[in-house]
Amino acid sequence: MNKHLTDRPAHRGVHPRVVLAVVACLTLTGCATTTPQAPTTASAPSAGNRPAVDAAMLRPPGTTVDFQPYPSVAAAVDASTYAVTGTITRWLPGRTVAAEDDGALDRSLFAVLEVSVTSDHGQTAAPQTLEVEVRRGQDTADSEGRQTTDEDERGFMYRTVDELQAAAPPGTRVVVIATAAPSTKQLEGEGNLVDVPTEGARPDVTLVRPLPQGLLLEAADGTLVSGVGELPDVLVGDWPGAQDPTHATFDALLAALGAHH
Amino acid sequence: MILGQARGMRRALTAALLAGTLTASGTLVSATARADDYFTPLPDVGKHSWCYASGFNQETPAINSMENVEDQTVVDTKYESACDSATDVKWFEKPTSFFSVGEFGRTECKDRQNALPERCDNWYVYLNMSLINSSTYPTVQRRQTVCHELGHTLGVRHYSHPGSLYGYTTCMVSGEAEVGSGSWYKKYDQHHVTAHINPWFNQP
Repeated sequence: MNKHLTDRPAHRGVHPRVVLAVVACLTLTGCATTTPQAPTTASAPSAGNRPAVDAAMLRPPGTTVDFQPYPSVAAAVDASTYAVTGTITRWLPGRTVAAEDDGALDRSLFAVLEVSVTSDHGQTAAPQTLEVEVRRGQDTADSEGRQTTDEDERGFMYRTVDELQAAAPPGTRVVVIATAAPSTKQLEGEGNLVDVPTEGARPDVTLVRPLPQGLLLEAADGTLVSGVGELPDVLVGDWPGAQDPTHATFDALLAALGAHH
Repeated sequence: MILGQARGMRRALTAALLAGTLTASGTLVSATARADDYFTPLPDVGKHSWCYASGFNQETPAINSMENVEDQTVVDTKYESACDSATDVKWFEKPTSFFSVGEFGRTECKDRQNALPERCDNWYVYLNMSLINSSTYPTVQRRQTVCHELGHTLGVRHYSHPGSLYGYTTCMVSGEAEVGSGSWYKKYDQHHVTAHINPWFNQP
């Protein structure tokens, strides 16, 4: 069986540590049962214990996106399906979506960011573990799918999953504002060839894609880092830090989310 | 090889100086204004060639934007009926599933030389025509997005939000057009032309 499948919580919506705590309580002490509650706020690491986040490595190299920003956190949440606060658990290989390109393949490469949800602000209830599809870059391949991007140019084209995990390590606090990712069936119906890695083949999982303003992480100094759009494009209008860069902090973002919720 | 490396270093130094990221002593400093940065990697300084991917139906705004580049800047352009890895700009239309929510267009560098990593030989420009056509001013939006993405392939960055810095004076404002008239949506502002595009392409 796929190792990752065995790692998943037995019951979606209940954190495995909560399940363990309840089982231990019943087994060891015979205490009265209570309904386990998922934590409702992100546990804030102390300033000295925050993981270092490398913003430049999170976005694909040599790529720029032109998007219409939402003028406030509330507007972004209202326009999205999922809005959560959580902690990065790990990074996994994601889908490869290949489109025909003059006899070759133009491929978009993705990773999956696994987030343990600690607080849910979205219109649709998020699962306890949210799987976020993050674009890690692009490459080229021949019609048989053999990569034609030179290895020595690889760093200019895409990030590896290990590089992403080093750039935003487990334990990093994150806010995800997202919609459902297009299904593999939809992508294939549009003429793409889609490769789903064995490790990422989890049909029971809700895969989401962040808005350009919807993947925001906490840097070691408590400031905000953006994983899709560049930060000056993300923090506009009423977003924290848009008027005063000193307010571009993760805690200010949490406050804005909480105020909307 | 040594000559190539020397040229590469010289070009990198030129790019950094033009971008205002190096002091006279060679110390790296952060630029004070993002709009003053170059978008990197930077293009080749020869003719800016372009071609179309199969299924691309926006030839008219692409041609008009290329003609505007010739009119506004020192850059010469060249259409190539057959795309190859040396073509500077290849235009694509992509379905909405290719993009993030609210994304009108995207520009990606597809080919760099290892010896000159600060240069891009081949840009792919992707247009989200579904979103463009459903915008408030689709004709303006189409032309703006084409002009905007083409601007990135010329080495300029965008202005973050309409009206935030330069207002509606240039197609390099980001996002949805909120003004459906004027000529701003198909032109670059003088700052981008005189401080960025022309100095870069005027290099020997």
